[in-house]
Amino acid sequence: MRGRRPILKGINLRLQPGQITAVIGPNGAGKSTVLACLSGALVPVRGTLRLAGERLCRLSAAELGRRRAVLEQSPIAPAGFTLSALVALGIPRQVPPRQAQALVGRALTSVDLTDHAHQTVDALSGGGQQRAHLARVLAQLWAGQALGGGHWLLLDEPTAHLDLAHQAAVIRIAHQVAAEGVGVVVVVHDLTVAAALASHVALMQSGCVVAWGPADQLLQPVVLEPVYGLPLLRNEPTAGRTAIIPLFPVL
Amino acid sequence: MGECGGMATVRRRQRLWIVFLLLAVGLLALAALALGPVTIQPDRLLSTLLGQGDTVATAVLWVIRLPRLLLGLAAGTALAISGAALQGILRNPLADPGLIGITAGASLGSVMVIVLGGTIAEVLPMALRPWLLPVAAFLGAALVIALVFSLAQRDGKTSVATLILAGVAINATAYAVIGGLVYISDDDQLRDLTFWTMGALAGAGWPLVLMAAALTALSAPLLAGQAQALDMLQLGERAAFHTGLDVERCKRRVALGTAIAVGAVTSAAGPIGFIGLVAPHLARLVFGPRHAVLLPTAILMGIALVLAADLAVRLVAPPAEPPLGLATSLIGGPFFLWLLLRSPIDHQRRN
Repeated sequence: MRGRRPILKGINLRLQPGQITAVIGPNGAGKSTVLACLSGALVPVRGTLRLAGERLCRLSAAELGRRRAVLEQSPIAPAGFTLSALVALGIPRQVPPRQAQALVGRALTSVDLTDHAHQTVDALSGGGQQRAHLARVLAQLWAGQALGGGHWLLLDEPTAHLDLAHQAAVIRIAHQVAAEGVGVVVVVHDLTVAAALASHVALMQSGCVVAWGPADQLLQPVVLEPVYGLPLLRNEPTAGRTAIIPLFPVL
Repeated sequence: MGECGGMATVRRRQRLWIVFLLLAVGLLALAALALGPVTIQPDRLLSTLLGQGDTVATAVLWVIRLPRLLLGLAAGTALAISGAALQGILRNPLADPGLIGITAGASLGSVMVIVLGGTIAEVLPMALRPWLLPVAAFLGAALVIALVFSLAQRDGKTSVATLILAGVAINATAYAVIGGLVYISDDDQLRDLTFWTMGALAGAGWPLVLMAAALTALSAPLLAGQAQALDMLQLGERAAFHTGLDVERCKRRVALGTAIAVGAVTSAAGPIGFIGLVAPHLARLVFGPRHAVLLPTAILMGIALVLAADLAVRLVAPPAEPPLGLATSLIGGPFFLWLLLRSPIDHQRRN
């Protein structure tokens, strides 16, 4: 609820482990709010959210942190923190220091930032900071797995500020994580990224999920055009690669 | 490899700084015991303490200098760690207990007890009377912290401007009420108040000093225990929650710890400005932003600053002694200005 006006209504989703679900839709459709509900940061006024049968609002912050990791939209780079210190922030104290250090190294390697481990975060470019935060979230997820959790990964615009090669890297990481049985939910704007990422799509408009299902059925111009209000072009998949391109009016 | 070498140099420099700070605190503490209108040779300190030397010197040590030193240690500790913790939790480098009005709240509580407390004290049992002052100071400080945190809670972050302006308003209100209380106080109370409101380590006797030291010793570990939580909070409140932090619990603990610490030392020493601002900043410059290192090193900086300032006011024109609060403000005021001019505080925090 924002003021007295509900932001989301009548949402019913069942997300499976090992699946990547892309949440798409125009600005203000409620995508980030859905993610905030799934993360436990917002509690819905009506209805319940269950994580493997357990009600989300019953879990403590630490329990939630063990079971899911969240990359928020435009995360803050804490001034003066080195990259390795930033990545270690997501690792709970129960993880032994040696193992924590190994997780930090693994996470930095996976986002291609190993060489910058001792640099301060605020010295990195916008894209570098975004990848550093992704590494922090991955370290949290893996630490959670070491403690018997790490089931869910929620990403809000993970490809924002990234060049094409690093977008591809994020897509690869998401696939790897999902292949390990983690349920991944991603909010994305770029429909081509959504097509490359997701096995399932939730299409949102004005606080409602207007369509939910397998990605190849939903990421079609007939479904998307009425929601986005723009003509779209989808190329036929060649070797499993799909592009969905908006046809902007040209003056 | 070059970066690893760089890290090693940084670590070595930090270790040297810690040794330097420990030495400085040790020497300043010795000087605090030895120097003053009656000079006691450092090599005779121990025997004088044990009463084997000059009886006047022994009395000076036990009645004046030891409580004064202990209060200096407590004040440096309490103000520095409170400042560092508040700056961490509000993600705001200007959150000093004095600037945002917490010290004023504690002062108001204390002045109320000094002026109006006589009647309340009469109905209290003897054992509880010494507690009246620190409890009132704690309540005043806690009230202001609650107010500041509720201001800070609007959309999860506080702008520097809001915080400082709120501090201006709180300080103005508190000192207006204090002024009113001073106006209605009698001559004896007035003498107490004039010295007290400028901040001084010399005014308090053993009972109050011991109380301040004990409460500081209680609250400092509570605040130091929040080091990792404060690190996580640098990501912002929402992201800190995502990484598994119970943000509200952390805030409650920091509020409780700072209210006890600032309340305790303010009730004994009066308002001592700027230590909570300067000490964490110096520590951050040398030791970086991680709170596990920042909190203890800020304490060392705070103690060194308080003891040095106290030594300065004691030696500048003996036997007269300008109040300590004047000296810390004289260091802190220009430092605050320098900070405003130097760092892009506003845009750095807003992003």
